[in-house]
Amino acid sequence: MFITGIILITIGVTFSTLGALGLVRMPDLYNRLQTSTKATTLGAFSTIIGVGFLNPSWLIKTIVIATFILLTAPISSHNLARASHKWGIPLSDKTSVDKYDSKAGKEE
Amino acid sequence: MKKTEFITGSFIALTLVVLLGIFFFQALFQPSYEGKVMPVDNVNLKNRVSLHYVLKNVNNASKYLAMHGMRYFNNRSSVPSQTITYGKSKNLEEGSANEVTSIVVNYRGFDTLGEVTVLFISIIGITMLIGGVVEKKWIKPSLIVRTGSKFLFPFILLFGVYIFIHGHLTPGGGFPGGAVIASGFLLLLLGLENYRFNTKASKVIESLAGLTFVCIGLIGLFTKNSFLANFIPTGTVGLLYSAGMVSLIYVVIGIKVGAELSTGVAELKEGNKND
Amino acid sequence: MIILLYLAILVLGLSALCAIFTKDLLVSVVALGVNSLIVSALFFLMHAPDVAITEAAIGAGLSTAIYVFAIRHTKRQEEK
Repeated sequence: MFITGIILITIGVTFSTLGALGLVRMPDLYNRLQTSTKATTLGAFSTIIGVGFLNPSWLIKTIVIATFILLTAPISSHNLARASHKWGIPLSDKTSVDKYDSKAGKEE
Repeated sequence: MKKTEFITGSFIALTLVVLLGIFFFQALFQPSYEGKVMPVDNVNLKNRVSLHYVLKNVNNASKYLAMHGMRYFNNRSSVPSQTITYGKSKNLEEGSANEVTSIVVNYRGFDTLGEVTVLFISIIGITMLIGGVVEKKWIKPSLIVRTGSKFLFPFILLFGVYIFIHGHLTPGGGFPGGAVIASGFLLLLLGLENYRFNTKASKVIESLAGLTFVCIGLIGLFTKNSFLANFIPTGTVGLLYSAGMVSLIYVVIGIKVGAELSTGVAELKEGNKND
Repeated sequence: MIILLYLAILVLGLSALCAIFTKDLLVSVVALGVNSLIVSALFFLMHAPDVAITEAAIGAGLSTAIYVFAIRHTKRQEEK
């Protein structure tokens, strides 16, 4: 139980650190959004589950909280990316394909 | 002319902020002396609520003050002899396990009635000011957002109801529960494009909740000779049906605050076209 | 623990200054939301969970939305 919790918390902290690194290193908004979403979903998710494993009486509550994070964070990230694309924030120079601009923009 | 005024004003504000910061940091660096800082290490977190409950019990505390003087409040280790255990003690002066709740609703219940009235008046002001504003065009939300907000709304509502029903046992209460319910309605307003908030029904619910609050106070006035007195027997500490009037009033406050805040947000979003 | 408090107070001051001195009102509102969130975390660290829940729900959630709706009905940029 204890070792499982420590391993999960280590995974979460690693992903949060990588997300912070990607926030500095990535060229434009969309790539930064992708890395920070990874950090919030997997990093926060496994950290909270790990805390639940360290203290087993909290496990049910932590699973509920983690499920809520797992449901909400991708939706909010998707909506942020969509709104900034419609607002007209430019992509970086290295981007080669932009499928959303040509196809789905006309559909809705 | 205006720019120099702005620069001087911001300079004065900055110096004030720096002075305040120095003041606070000085207070943080001072060594803590006995009687002001709570000893965190001695408190077992599971018994924390019932340990503090003793200090809240006013009749016992005044008895102790007469016996021991102010030394009782300075020294936390000398807890009165009547220990109150979670889930066993019965028929106390006031049965809620969360001491903040008992102060807000029971001992200072009249102030809470005033706070709810202030919120009601501010929502009336928003409704009057926003009338006649033309609705602007919104970008249509995508399929993921629509499905997600439809799926998440009942859970957010359930969480708000949980917060205000368990207000006398766990941290929380009527105001946070109502705010969580209003944020759920905000999610529905932003996520679904053709959702219309029923303003009339929410106003009726809010008025009924306020009327119930005053009626509970009046029952206390007629039975115990004091407005908002506790007239329901207080059960065992820590159970759901325990605190007598406190849980009842918190349910009413939660419904009222939730209806008020969601009415304000809805009117701000779509303008007031009905009247 | 005490380092965490200092960091929180530092970010609190930075977000408050950003909320005052920026010209874009939307940025100002977002900085105000960050300020509220850190204040609620500080309340929780100082053993006041009741106030922390209220601050997180009203300060960071609802009042940000209310300010954004008010900016939608008026202008986004601050006038000189």
